Amino acid sequence: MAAADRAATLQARAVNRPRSVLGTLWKYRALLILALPGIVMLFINNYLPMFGIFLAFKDLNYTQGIWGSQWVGFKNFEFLFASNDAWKIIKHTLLYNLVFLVLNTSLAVLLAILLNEVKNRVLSKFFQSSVILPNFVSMVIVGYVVFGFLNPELGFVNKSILEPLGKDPVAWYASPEYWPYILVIVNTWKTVGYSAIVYLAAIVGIDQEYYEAALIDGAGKWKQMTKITIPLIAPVIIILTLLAIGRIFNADFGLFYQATMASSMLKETTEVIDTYVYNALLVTGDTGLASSAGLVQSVVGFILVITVNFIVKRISKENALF
Amino acid sequence: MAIKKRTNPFIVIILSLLSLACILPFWLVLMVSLSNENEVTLHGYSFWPKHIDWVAYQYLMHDSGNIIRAYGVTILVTIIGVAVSLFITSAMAYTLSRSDFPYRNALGFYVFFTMLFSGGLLPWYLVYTRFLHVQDTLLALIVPGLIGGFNVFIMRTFFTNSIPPSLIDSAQIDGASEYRTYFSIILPLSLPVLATIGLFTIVSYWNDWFTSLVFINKEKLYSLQYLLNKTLMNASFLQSIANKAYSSTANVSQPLESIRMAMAMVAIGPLVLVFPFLQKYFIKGLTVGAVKG
Amino acid sequence: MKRWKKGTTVLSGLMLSVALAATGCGNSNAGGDSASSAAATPSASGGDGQKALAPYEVVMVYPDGPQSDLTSVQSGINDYLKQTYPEMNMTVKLNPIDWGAWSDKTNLMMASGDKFDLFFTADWLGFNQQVAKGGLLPLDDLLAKYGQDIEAVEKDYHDPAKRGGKLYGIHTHQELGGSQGVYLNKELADKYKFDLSVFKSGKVEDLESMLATIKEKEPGVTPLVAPSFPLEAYYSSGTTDSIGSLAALNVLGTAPDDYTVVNLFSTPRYMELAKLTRKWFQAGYINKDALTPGLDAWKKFQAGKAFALVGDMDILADMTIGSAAISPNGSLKAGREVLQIPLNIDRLQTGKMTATMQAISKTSKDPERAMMLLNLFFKDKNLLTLFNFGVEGKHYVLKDGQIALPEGKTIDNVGFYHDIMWQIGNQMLNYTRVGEDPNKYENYEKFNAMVSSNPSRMFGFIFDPEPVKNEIIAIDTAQKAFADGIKSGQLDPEENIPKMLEKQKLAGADKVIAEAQKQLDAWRQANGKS
Repeated sequence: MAAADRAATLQARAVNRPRSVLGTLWKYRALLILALPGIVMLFINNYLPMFGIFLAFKDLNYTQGIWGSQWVGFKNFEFLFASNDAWKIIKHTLLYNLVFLVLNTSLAVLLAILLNEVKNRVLSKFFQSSVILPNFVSMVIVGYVVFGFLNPELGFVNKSILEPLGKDPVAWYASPEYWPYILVIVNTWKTVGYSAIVYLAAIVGIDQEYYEAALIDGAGKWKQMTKITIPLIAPVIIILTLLAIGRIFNADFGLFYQATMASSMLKETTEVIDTYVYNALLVTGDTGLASSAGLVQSVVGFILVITVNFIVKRISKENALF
Repeated sequence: MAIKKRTNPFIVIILSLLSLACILPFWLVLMVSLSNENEVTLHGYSFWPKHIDWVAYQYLMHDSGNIIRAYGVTILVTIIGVAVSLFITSAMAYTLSRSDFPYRNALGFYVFFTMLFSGGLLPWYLVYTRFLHVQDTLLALIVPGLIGGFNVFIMRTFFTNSIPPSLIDSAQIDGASEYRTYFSIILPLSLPVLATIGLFTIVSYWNDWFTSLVFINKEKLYSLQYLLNKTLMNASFLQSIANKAYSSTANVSQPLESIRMAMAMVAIGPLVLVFPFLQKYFIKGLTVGAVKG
Repeated sequence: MKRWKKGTTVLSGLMLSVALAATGCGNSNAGGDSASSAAATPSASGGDGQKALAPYEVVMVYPDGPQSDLTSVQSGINDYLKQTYPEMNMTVKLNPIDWGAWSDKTNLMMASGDKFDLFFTADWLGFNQQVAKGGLLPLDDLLAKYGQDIEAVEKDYHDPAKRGGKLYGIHTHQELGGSQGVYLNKELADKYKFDLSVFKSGKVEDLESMLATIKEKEPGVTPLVAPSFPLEAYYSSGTTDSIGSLAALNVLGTAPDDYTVVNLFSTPRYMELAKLTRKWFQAGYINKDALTPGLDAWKKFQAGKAFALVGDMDILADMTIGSAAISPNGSLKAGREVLQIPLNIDRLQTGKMTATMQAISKTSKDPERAMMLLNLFFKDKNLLTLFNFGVEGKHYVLKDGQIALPEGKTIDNVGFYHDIMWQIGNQMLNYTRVGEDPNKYENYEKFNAMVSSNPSRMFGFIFDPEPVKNEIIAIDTAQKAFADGIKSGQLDPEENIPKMLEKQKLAGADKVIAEAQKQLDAWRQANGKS
């Protein structure tokens, strides 16, 4: 009869459950109300338009409308793998993003710690302001600045560095081998300051008592950094990394398109998914291609984040995304 | 209190070099905007042009009526947008940060999902124009930027990590409602992160031109970045089609390089001034320790 | 996890219903459109002009920069239409869209079913996609009924804009092609007394000795400024009839009935010109930053640091191959006197006829009225003048039969100034501006006679790229780096052309060529060109 008992309890629980759901909802109504504006905004701005995902599987016809248009299965996805270079392009996207992620995180944390060490008010303001400056400029302008340095005829590098050294000028925009480094430098220059500010906000929030206690124990700067600062800002590092992993299949179009001045001779090392899709749109004029590419990028990112999030959850429940 | 006030000179040197690396390109942009066009064609960019030429700024002055109005639009949109956005984002982040909130994971997923998946431009456009009917209003410039998953998660992380649950518990034992806890304990304690996210939001509102492109047809409501950007976009588009559309259409002269750069300076100038104001919220002392003490 | 799932189901259910509501809306809209246009048809045709037409506002969508006086021009047009054509009972709404926003905005407008009527389009602005996606109306019947003045000048040129046997765009009546040649800095050409008669051959090769002289004697001057390369328009128009992607007919030295589709990059002439460019590049005749996007070759002329440029010519009175003349437009852009020497005249090509067109949107509530208005642009000089130059006295004045700015006004403050005559109507009816050759349009007519007397052997054939779309994308991705490197002289052609051909093959070049051949053969059969 144990089985029957269990069934009865289960049933009872099932009956009870709705009430308890309502109960919890009521109990946490204040928190729900606080979250409500955000929930509504996300619903309008993000969830309502999500029916567009179906467009990836359709041949959109303006007359028949979004729902009347024909289903074409995975036909819109074929172009993604049409190129012999598909794997190379995917590899570029992943490798660049990985390098950006590692470099950005480590340099930004380091920069934040250094910024926090500056005691002089004026200097501190000056440094903080200047490192986020690059983030204000659009990639188009960044492209021109890079061009100012690398212009094969008049750029600073060829004219003011290589020429006085007696070296041959380099045709930068025709030499793909240099561009992985150039793009990493540009990307770091543009984004590190910004992330550093997030970490700085986290470091500023650390209770001073920890450091005072450490000083009493005679811990040096290095010890303080590795034993207090980094562990305490680890949650922020984890969150930012998780979010970056979700976008690992999405390349920064501006960086790869504008900073290279869209030079086709560099594609050997700079072609990424987003520039490939953009080019496919230019060639065919079919805007439907973008939605299928975007969907693939999202799904890959989604799977990765779910996996990593699962691992994070195992280690520390607090730091997981959900 | 006994923490030494002097900064390690080594750190100052490193940071000075970094700052230089960040400022120099700006200097370059400023100098090119003040250069004579022929000089740029002949000698390339220069950190110190031989002659200062104001022609680019004079050219922009020409359109000053529109630029000033666009400044107005952008400033208004940014102020309202940032204020509302900070409230919505932090309120949601606070709920998400409460470990006792039972739907925490579901809500987290709800937010996270929007960061990866999107329906694309067309459905988004339909929602705003057919459902909310906000095209050609300032709302169209404000609403889309109000919430972003990224900011919500950063704030949530800050709340969970820098505000001990015991503080919330004790406040509520003292009879503070959730709203009071949020407004008078959480927010004041979170000024550094509010300043950070505030800065991010300011920058994204300020630099946004795409929403104007999509939703705004009235020139009066153009945002600053769109107004400036479209000159460049028009020129580059026309150039890209020049050989497709034949000689009579190809009569396009590119805007002078100095004008491009002057536009960049006009667009980012005010932003550069904003950050020093926000910086005061980065000052220590507003932390938990202070409250506890 | 389970609870989660339930949450998502509810959520997606909700989404779906809202989405359905949204589309329901869109659908009923579309339905309404077709219903009303169907309703409009009998009344208009039944009345045959006798019965008064209901008032209608024709919305014109075209790319243009913002004009601060747009509304006054619009009401000028409307007053004029009301006075001159009261029986048509229509008004016009001008809806220009910025160039930079054009693709995004028009895509959204079409996809979301916004109502508009006359619409500028072109093959390079997605005409094929717009037809394929059902954004445009077939025009054959409308044209027959209301397009007499269009037919008067464009009758023979409709085939290129047909898709599936139906006409979707009306070509602006203007020059029927272009001409490619060299521009020379006159001052330098005179200084060294270059013999320009050598260009009668039509070969760009004859430039070489001049470039060598300039290189040697004029340090600091770039002999040949790019980004205009011999391997662009000069090669493709002079050597091939382009079909699509890399498929083309080689017309240089082949029989007029040779319809073998070949790879554009595999002709002997391509190799020849590539080697020439390479030689020039290595000799330092071509600037090294030539591939930079946004680089304006004319700026080097302006600075006095350029000698020659290969590019599209102005259309002047004498357009015979090798005839040197001062180029008004080139001189304007260079800020000094520039000579132009045509080396090649286009044949009458399918592609050029779809480069500037007006179409009627599927969402038009009264396509008949849209066609009536379009027809007026092919017959009424006053209407064209209003649209192109604005209101007399306010935006322009006539000086000796040419358009001039009113006293004390500049281009920037006159309130209405654009050069988009090529977008609509019969361009030949327009006024010319002060500074232009008053005979500009006579020159055009003369030039058109030259072009149309020499039609491409496959004039009227349209390639449908849809069956090989993915191959075309792959080919474009594979060849781009090579093609740019070769045309700018930065890559050695003897090593890299075979490499590029190999890459193209891997990406499916043969399939594209075979498809083009198949379609071309079918077209020949249907049109009796065997």
